[in-house]
Amino acid sequence: MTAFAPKTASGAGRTDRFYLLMIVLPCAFLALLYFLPVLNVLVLSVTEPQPGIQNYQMLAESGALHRILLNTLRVSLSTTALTLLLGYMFSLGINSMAPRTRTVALFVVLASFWISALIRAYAWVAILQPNGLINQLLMGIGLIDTPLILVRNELGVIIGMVHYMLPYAILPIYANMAGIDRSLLRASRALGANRWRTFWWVFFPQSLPGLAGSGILVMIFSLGFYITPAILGGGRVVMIAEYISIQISETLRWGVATMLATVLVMVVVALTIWMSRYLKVGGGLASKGGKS
Amino acid sequence: MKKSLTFNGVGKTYGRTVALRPTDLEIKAGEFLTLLGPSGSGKTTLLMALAGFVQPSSGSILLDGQDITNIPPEARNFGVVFQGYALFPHLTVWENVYFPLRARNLGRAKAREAVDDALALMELKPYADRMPAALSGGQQQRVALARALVFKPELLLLDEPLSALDKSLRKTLQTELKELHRKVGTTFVYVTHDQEEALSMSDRIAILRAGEIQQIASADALYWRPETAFVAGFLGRSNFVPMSGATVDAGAVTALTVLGPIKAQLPRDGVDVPRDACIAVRPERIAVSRQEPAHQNRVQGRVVSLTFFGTHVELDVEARGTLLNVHVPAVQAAQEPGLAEGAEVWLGWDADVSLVLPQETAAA
Amino acid sequence: MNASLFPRIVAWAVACFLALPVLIMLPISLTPNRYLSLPKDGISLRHYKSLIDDPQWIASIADSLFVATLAAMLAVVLGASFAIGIWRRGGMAERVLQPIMLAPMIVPPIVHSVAFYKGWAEIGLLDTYTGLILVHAMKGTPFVILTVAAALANFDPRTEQAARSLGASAGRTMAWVVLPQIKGGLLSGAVFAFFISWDEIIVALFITMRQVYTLPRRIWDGLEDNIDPAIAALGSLMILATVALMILQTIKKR
Repeated sequence: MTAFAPKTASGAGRTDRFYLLMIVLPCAFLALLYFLPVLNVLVLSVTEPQPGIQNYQMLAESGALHRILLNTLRVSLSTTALTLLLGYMFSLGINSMAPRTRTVALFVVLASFWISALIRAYAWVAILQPNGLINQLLMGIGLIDTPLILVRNELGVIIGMVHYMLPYAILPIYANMAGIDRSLLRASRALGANRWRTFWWVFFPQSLPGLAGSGILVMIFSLGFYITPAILGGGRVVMIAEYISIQISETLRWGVATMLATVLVMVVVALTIWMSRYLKVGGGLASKGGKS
Repeated sequence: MKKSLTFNGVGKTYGRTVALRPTDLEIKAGEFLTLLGPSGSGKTTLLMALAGFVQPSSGSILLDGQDITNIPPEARNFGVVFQGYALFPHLTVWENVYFPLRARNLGRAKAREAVDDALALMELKPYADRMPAALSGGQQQRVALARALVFKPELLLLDEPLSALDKSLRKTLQTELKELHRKVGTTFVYVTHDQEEALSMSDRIAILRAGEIQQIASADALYWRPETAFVAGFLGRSNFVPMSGATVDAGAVTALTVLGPIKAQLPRDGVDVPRDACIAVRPERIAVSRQEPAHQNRVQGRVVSLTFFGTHVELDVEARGTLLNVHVPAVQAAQEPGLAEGAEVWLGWDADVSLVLPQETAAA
Repeated sequence: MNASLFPRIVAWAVACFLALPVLIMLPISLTPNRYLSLPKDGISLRHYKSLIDDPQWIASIADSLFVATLAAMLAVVLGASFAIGIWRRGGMAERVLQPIMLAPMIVPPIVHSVAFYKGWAEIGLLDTYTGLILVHAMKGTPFVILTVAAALANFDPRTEQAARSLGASAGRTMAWVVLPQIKGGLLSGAVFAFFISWDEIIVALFITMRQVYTLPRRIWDGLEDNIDPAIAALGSLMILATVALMILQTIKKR
């Protein structure tokens, strides 16, 4: 009790109420205008078109749904794996750069983060489409005769998604790596482990929390991703988010759409709770804010 | 300006943890009172209840007979010097000191004289336009004092204000604080865990332990007449000898101990021999000699270790299976031939320096 | 051979991959052709001109600026208030409420888009500025909570107590001591919230039609039809603005 305990020590009652109000008002605002509408629509999954769990039964029965879920899972897992691999290598690389060069490399990452996802998707279409820049280049130098199909397929979607996710993965991985005590690596070398073993026995295990945390974060974003799959998939790679959108705006099947939304939310919440073991939720974002 | 403060059964609990047991305390107008105790003893809780940051779970606080328990901190008009100073990092030294006057709706022009006076008092004039981060620890400390005094508070509360400073600077500031107390005449309530600070500055010291005031008295009264084994052990050092029984005859106690019967005294008149008691003797009150001394209590032992400290020599003497710590002035030790490790010696002390104290846990 | 050379090569390759869309945008925007291509025979500013000449682009930019500004302001009020409140009170509120308040950041946008589509229709907020501003503010709030909480982590809570002991009321303490010290967190929270709104497309697709027509919405619809190089011109301008702001920020920090 000797240290100040401002978090538990209550001041005079009036001050307490003042701070309580500061908490309660924003909470009430979100409860009324965010959580209420969300719950109000998720409830449709057991009331539309008639009360019951028939929408959830479709999850087991409908082949179309299976294809969508499989698409989503496959694209998300590929994106996550590629993003982690590239993000880890990138972090490893800048970790051994001179501070000045590292600043430049990190600047590129941050700039990428701050540039509109829509604009980036547009740029990828321009680069990857049949008469896009890559095909023009390859045909121009005579490497190929017919354009490669790089967009409106899974490849295009994954390229665009990896590009979008990389900053989200790099910042936590790098923050974790930068926190690893260098003297441990020297100790390992002094104890007779070569570079390779030092990396695998000492460095890699300590960088795992960052890797695991970013992996789950990327997975969370990937599962519900809409913009990039919709633009770069061109209707051929339909993932769960786009499918929900189609159910609402075209086929008006609210029951199926909200059932999928409920499942998506539950998976995302579970992943978030899992992630919080490795990363402070939003911790990386706060540091980005500081740097931006 | 000077007002007295009364705590009536003020206590604080956080859930099931008791930070402060219901406490009565009288703070006299104009005095320098120190709350001394180890961490977790409740001294900061007591201070924060006084400042208004901790709402007591029970009891009331009276300022000149007026209940201030529910008055918010900003309306109490007490100056507080925080641990680590809590200077506003975004304001200059001058603006920091002006802050309380601004809070009292005084314009810059009107406040200038008071702020400048406070800065002058603390010899901070040349630093008025600096930011706190650009000052040394001692200077920051003085800014915190100027800020807490500029509005002529009824009371100045200081929470371990010197703990962040190095030892030599602490000494200087102790003298300065005492000087300041004399100059401004405001009541000071000072929290510390450092007994040297407490002894050197205070009019009175309250010793706290486990959320409870053990004893309040002047420094020398606490040192020579501790009322519990904890106080005797926390302030200075003491030898504690457990008692297995005692006989009392007209205030004179004869205690049964492993060292044999020991003639001792109760800390003050009118108290009984506690059920679980021990004898406490200060190491510097025990005389060492090669011959049997004339003291009321005598015991023979062997020097186990001898350490030279410049002003004094410290001996550990084993007597009947008990280790006694004895301080002998270096000058005297030099005149005692044969005083060395392994030597057989006599220890002697009188009844008036061996106190019978209650012993819950005798911290040595 | 230096063992760390390979990761460094990969790092630069990744950096190039990240920069590629940005680097490609500028040349495309300068093409003299009507279709998406690299300029071969000279450059032209016609697509920039068409941006300025088209009142619809300007109207959408104005819509986006208006919505993002108000949404960011509301998000800062909500997020900062919450972050300061739980910072001061801590305990249960921090552990339980904070994750819940971050939900708009975690819940997939498609889910709350559908929710607002239905909810706003029921209370008549579809295709209104109010409707979109409210949603964007709520989406920005978690980011403000995080940046303000980060700023508060470096804030000495004793200065708040000091202000109170020196006679400042709770309100004045907030205005004179707390807010000035977390300025940085408030500002980056505001930037985040503004950007979230400025870039938001999915909710806008669901709850706006004609009255409110933000820039991302117009770009999206432009992508549906044919790929207009005017979008490249717009993208180039946005990229240049972003990079300029970031460089400015980096210089200021030094």
